[in-house]
Amino acid sequence: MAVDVAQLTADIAAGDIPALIYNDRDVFELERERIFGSAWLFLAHEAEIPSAGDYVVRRIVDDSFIVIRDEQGRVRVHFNMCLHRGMQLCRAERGNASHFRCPYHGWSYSNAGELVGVPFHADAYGGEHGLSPKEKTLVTPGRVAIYNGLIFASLDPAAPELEDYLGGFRYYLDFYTRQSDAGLDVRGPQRWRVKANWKIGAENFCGDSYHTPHTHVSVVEIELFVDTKARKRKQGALYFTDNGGGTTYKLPPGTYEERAGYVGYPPELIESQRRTWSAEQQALIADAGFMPSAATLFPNLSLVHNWPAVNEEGLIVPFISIRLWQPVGPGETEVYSWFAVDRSAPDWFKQASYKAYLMCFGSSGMFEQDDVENWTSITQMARGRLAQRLNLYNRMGIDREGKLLHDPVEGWPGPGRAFVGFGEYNQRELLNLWSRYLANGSAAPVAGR
Amino acid sequence: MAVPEDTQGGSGDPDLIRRGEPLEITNEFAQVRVCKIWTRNGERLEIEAPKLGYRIWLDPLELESISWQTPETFSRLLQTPFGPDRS
Amino acid sequence: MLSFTSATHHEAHEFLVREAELLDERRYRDWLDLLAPDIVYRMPVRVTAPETLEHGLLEDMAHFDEDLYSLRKRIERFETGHAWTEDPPSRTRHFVTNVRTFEGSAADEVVVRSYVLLFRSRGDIRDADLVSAERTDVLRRTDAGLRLARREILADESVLRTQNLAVFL
Repeated sequence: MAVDVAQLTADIAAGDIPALIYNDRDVFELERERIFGSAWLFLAHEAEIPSAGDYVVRRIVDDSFIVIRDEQGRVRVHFNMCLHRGMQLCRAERGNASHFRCPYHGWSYSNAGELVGVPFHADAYGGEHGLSPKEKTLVTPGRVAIYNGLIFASLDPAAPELEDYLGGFRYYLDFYTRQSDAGLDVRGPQRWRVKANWKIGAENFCGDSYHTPHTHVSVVEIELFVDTKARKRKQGALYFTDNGGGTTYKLPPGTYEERAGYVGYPPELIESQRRTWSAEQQALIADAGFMPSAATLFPNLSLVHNWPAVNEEGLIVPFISIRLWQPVGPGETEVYSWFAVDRSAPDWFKQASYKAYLMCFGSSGMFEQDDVENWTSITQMARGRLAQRLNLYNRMGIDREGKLLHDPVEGWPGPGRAFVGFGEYNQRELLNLWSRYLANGSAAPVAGR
Repeated sequence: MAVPEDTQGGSGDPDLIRRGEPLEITNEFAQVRVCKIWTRNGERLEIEAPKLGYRIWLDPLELESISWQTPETFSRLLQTPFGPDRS
Repeated sequence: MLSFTSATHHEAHEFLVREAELLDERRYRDWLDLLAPDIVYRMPVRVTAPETLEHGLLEDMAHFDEDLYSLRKRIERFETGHAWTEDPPSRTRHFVTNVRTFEGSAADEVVVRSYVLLFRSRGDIRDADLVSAERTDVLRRTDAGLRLARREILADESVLRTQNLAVFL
């Protein structure tokens, strides 16, 4: 059954969500072609492949890629398929190699992707007459680019510059990925499969502060992370800019140092944040008084940042997680979840932050456990015939005519538009983007705000 | 020097005085065993590729010459990915 | 390895069988009582690695990397009655097999290795999950009986096919 993209677009623009989009084979195929075939997708962080020859094998849906640092130190991304008869070149999930030798017939490539060796070249191919190895290199995705060590690829050779795609979202991305010039230490990923549609997690991390007080009430009750209480949660701000958006928590009054200290950053990191971030970035914490928590970059890269108590003494320590909602099928997603911490942080902080991460997010995280339960249930219900006739209600923050109930925050220090309190502004933005991609199959130009 | 055919794979290399503790270096494409060996009058590095059945003894000068090679040298050596094309 | 007929082997096996029963009956406070105060409870992340490399583990990332505080917090959370992921609860069955015991490095310690297969079913629509792993435990003799001082869980998958680890292995 063909997807009525025009109808989807209209419904979403009106503030509805046709429930079927959370478990529909045709929608999934269209997403695979028009979103995952053209947007910028996250593959890996440079810190996962620090030395020459280090590689990890990652995917964009069904496309398998070798993400490797070549002998000259340059990051390369190769489609993981031998040019001879299509064998999978790298079968380990990670490793170190100067060359790839195909397990099938032995065709060998330098890790920069050039075909350098063919067994029995003279006998089998008549030498250069039949096959000229130097004319052959492994297939690469349309574009590859790196921001703050985050390696992205697009299958579309005409994709815009990554910096333009990120646009204003870079301001927020820096909070998670550039707290000093030393870059990130990245651990993981944990990988596990969830029978949920990939969009649900992406939307949740983008702007769903409303679910926190109820879904995660248990976390408050055990005094793991008390900021999730409703009274507190609705003081946070929600922002969206260009291709991404996120949630924040309201900070108690204080100086920059006091506010960053409130979430548990030690003096060394507070100092490096002050040195590294622009005045405008620091203003988010110091003046506006908001601390970034969860965020999503379209389509499926999310980040989260919380500050739980990690021991009996109640020591508060923040953590950062980077995660990818990798679509497996319309009703299944593989979650890749990394722990990240600034490389210049003291060792005690890195250990404590890692512990904080494990308690809250990831395969065993106490927040994530309850999220996944909800999302799996939604996806199951979305299989129903009636789901094809049900429009879900995505209008928190607007009236029946679509007019905003509240004004955006005045003098918001970062790019984009922000609102205080609960609202589905970000989910609407993300789904509008989604429907534009389904219609156009390309990164439609986004008007700067 | 390439270890003579009749001593390959055997522990009874007639010229070998002693073989040191082996070290394995492996990735998903290849497996290599490396150890120091002592001949009657000197020492070399033995490199063995057990899955392909090759073994070589490199002296310090040969090893030194490897240490300044570029990646292109090794790509050239891998033009025959499993060793010499023997018909 | 200690003989299957030794008293130590029987004690260790009995400990594991009773522990599995507590977990499947969701008697988490009783399970917590089986843990030593200095418990280290780890489940490293597996990665697909070539045959000749040991284990294929990530050194610095795990699914579980717990001490008594974090395990207690997890159990407190279930007790709030608001841990939605386990309400309604999963029906679990821990199959514990292939138990082998070894001398510990301290006089009061025993090393125990076992296989565990966790069957986990939720609701009526979803297929059940299976999680297979090998556990290496250090059990310590105390006045109150054997206590779990250390557990290392080696899962048999690099990508877990269960929606979360709201269960213990």
